[in-house]
Amino acid sequence: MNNHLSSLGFGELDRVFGALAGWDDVAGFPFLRTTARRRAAPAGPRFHHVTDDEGLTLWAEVPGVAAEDVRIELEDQTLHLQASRAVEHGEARGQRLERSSFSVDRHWKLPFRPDADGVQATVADGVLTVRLPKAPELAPRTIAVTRG
Amino acid sequence: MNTEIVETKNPEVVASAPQNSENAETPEAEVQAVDVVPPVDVVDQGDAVLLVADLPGVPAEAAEVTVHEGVLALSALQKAPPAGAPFERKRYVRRFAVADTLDPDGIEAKLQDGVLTLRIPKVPKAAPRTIAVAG
Repeated sequence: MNNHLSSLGFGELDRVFGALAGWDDVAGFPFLRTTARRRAAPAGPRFHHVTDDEGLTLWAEVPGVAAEDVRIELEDQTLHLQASRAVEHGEARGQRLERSSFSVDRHWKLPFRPDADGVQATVADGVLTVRLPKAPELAPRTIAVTRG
Repeated sequence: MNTEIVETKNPEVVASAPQNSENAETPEAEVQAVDVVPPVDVVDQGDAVLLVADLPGVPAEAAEVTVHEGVLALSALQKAPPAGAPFERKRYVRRFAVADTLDPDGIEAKLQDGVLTLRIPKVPKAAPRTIAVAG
């Protein structure tokens, strides 16, 4: 994919810097982004998360990963997530190989104590979603007020 | 180099390719999504060429493959992310020139766990024939 710098004649320089150093940003020259690496698959899936009043949701794109390829453990306030995929083509001859195998093994310290029984994890169409509700005593509760 | 599938450099060529989105609820062009180039493997299996693309978040019915005038165009729209999700919806787009040694009519497509696999059979080589010459 060409960026606008290529049309200004930076394309070659851009490639050389990228090939030499493999940097996403050349120090001091953040505009010299590599074009070569932009298309390449990242080393592993990127995780996104959002916290709300009731808990936290975690997402990651994990193409080629089925439910049985994911392992999730919860220990106290730490989430341990493992997932992997292997890209194999056997004896077939590759003409273009851009997809990569990956293996995720990450720990996250949660900002609250989760409700271990309420954790839900799904993999659908190569997208992993993990919902971690707060332990019941931490979630906001509405207190019924009775007439005295 | 003996490549039968080559990425095309001229996206304009395929912009006019027929769109099969008649049964979609919203015209695909109106959906808010970021165009992304998916990573692709192309491997030669001998009797066919496999094209494998990572399309996480795309359900089978939202992947569209068209072959028009020797250009294979892939367009696949992710399912809408849940409300409040901190990422954008993506549309995976990529185009390849397909050599005429391949048979686009025989393409088989499968989308599983966010991975699209296209099997494009090769045109069988014509067997040498002996022509009888009448005297």
